[in-house]
This record gives sequence, structure tokens and C-alpha cells, in this order.
Amino acid sequence: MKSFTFTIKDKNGLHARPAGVISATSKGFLAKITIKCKEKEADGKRLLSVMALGAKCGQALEFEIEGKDEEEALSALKSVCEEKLGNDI
Amino acid sequence: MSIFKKKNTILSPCDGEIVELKNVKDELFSSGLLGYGFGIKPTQGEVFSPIDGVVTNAFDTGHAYSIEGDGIEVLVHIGIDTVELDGEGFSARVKQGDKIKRHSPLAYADLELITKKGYDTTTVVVIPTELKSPKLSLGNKKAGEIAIEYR
Repeated sequence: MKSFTFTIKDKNGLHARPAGVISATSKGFLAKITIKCKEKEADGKRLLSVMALGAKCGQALEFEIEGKDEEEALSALKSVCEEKLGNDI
Repeated sequence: MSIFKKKNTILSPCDGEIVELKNVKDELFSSGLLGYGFGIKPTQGEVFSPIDGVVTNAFDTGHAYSIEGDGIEVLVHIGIDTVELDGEGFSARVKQGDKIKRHSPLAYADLELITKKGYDTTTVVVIPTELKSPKLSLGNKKAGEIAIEYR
């Protein structure tokens, strides 16, 4: 299993657009992708599950990725996070 | 299974003109990556639930709601990029965990204010779960009229 933690910098938090990109990206991999935030847990491939985390600016998302393409999934999700949630705008 | 099984339908959430998702001015929604759906250009600000179900998420900002029921999930996103209004112009009529009937109030959006602030009020309904042979009905609709039929 691979994992990484990403702290949200976008002031709007994990809203529809970044959640959409995360779920669409996750769907492209075989690996099981779980995202944790505080006490909540989401299936990374399900848009509404990811949105329901209600993750806000400053909160940490913990990604857990398990499967044979976990390496590729990890790097894709890391760059999606940087691009969509990494800017303080 | 009963032959009288009701047709599966998703209702229009508001009064307005239904357009294809690909014509919505939001790349992510229009790409279809998030699921099948449609856009509606609302003519009045009262927004209703498209399905029977449970509100699985009501954003603090009042602009987006997810409802789960009838084996599907629906996201209702009021306006484009309206997360940036941080709640201004939106009043939620439900909260997370509420049971909701189709065509009962979900939220109110002050369309005039949202437009004045420079945002497109096009409301997007997407269904991230798979729909069997969905058929979209385009054009002007009243809230509660059938927007999508599926099997």
C-alpha cells in the first residue's frame, strides 16, 4: 500500500471541482483509493463520497492507495492535489 | 418483479431551460467525466429535489447538494463556480441526513444577486452512478417535470 498526506491550501476547500477531478482521476486506476479526513473516510472513486468529506482549507487529506498500479495512482493524485487544491487563491 | 414498476425518472430541479451537459460552461461538468446529467438555466430561484432520497451532503456554502435514493446518486450544483460566493445568495432548505421527497424544497438561490456578482446561474444536475439508457428531455420545464427517464 502507498499513502500520502496533502494539506488543502485552496480557501474553498474540497468543493465540487477538485472532488470531481480527484474522483475522475481515481477511476482511471485499478487500485483501491481511500481518502481520510478527520474521522471521515471516502471512496476516492466516488465523487459524492469525496465531496461528503467536507474537507476545508487547512485540513489534511490522507490518501491510501492499494493495488498493482498504486505507484502510478499515487503520482497522478499527488499532482492533481497540487494543481487543484495547492493554490492559495 | 411487478410489471407495474414505475418508470425511473429524475425531475427538473427548477423552472427554466434544460440544456445538454456538454453545453454547460464548466469544463469538468461538460466533459461528462462526473457522470450523465444536464444543465438548467433557472428562471426562478427555488430549487427542488430531483429524486426521493436522503441528503448525503449539503455544503455549508449552500450551492451544492447530493441526494441518494432509488439506487442512484444525484448532485445538484447551483450556478457555475458559485463556491466562490461563500454562501452569499444561497439559503439551504435541507441539511445533511434529511429525508427528502422529489419536488420538495432543497434550496433557494437569489438569482439576481448571483448574476450581479458575475456568476452564471446555470444549475447542473449530474448522476455519478450508472444510468441505464437515460433519455433527456430538453427545453423549457417547470420544476418537478420529468427531465430524465431511464430504465
